[in-house]
Amino acid sequence: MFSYPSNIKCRYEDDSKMKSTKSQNVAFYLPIAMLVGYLAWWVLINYFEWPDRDNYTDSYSLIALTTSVIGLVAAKKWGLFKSKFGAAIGYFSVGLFLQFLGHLIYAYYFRVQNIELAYPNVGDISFLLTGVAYTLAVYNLLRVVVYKGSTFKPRIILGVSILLTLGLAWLVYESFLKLGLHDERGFIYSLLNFSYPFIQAFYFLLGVIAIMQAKRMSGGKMLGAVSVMLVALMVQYAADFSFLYQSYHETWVAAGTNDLIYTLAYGLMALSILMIDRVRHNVAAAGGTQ
Amino acid sequence: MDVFTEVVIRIIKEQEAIIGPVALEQARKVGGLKVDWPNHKIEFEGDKTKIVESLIEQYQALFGQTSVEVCREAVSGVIAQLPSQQVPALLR
Repeated sequence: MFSYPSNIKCRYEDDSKMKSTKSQNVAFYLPIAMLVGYLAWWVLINYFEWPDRDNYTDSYSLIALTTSVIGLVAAKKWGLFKSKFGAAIGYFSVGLFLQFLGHLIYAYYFRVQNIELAYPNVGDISFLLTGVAYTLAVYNLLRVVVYKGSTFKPRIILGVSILLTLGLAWLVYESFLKLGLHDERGFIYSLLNFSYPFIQAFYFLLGVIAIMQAKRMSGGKMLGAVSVMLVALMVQYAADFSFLYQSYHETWVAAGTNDLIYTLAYGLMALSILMIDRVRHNVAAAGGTQ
Repeated sequence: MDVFTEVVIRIIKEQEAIIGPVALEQARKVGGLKVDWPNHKIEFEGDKTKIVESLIEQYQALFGQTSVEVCREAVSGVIAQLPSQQVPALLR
């Protein structure tokens, strides 16, 4: 049987490895390019009266899908679920995929079943699980940023966390939850109405603690990427909050401000994953210390 | 086992739990440090204190002070066995 001499084979392997790395690099920029395109589309719809509001709403979650794929590729380089940082990126990616799935199912009900707001449906399971995935992601990220038993050190972090949680609970209740707790349509509606802000509060709270602790990473190349990731998480919370608020007050419109915030949240998450991968790439390419 | 070998193994192990395979990649870049991880064999060529210091700096470049804290915690049980002048500055 014919076989390449080992040095030639090695060169071919290197070439194919290089091509695969190049295509991966291009793929990492895809969601950013999509973000720019969707932002431009949003401006055209809202300021130049372009049509296609529904198409915008039903498709911008493609940014979440592509980000989830590149996120899993990036996470694998950090050990995926076998390491804390790999798990953090991995769970964020799973959360983004669940966001896409939820949007897709809602789009199916709207396009195929002709139901404008099919609430609740199986897509809500996906959206609720997003909150769980994000909570696990930030929990793992916190385990990277702070070391054993120092999550609430200095003590002011504990105080600020408690205050923020209470403030958030009050804001959620006053803004919309008081309308949803006694849903006339039945218990399942009331339960779902409560479940969304309840689950989202967990990742918000952990995210705030992680932001306060992030300065521990000062001097490290990963500080910028992790900071962008945490900002993306807060923007995601703002998107979830504004969706619930606008839904309860019946002010939600397709391709409106809420969809813009979601678009930004997915785009920022993509940016943070790109930054993480760039750091890893640069560190891998750099020479060692003597 | 030599204390420095134990220190290096503990640091890489702890970093591996946090950053996965990147921990080993970074360790293999340290000049004077040869790592045969599957067999947990470590070889030093040069000043062991400086080599361990360089290893910690590799991780510090990624996650800053957090990485140094992780290394300190990882070796807290063995570092006392070294004479104080041999303890790397970042672990003091």
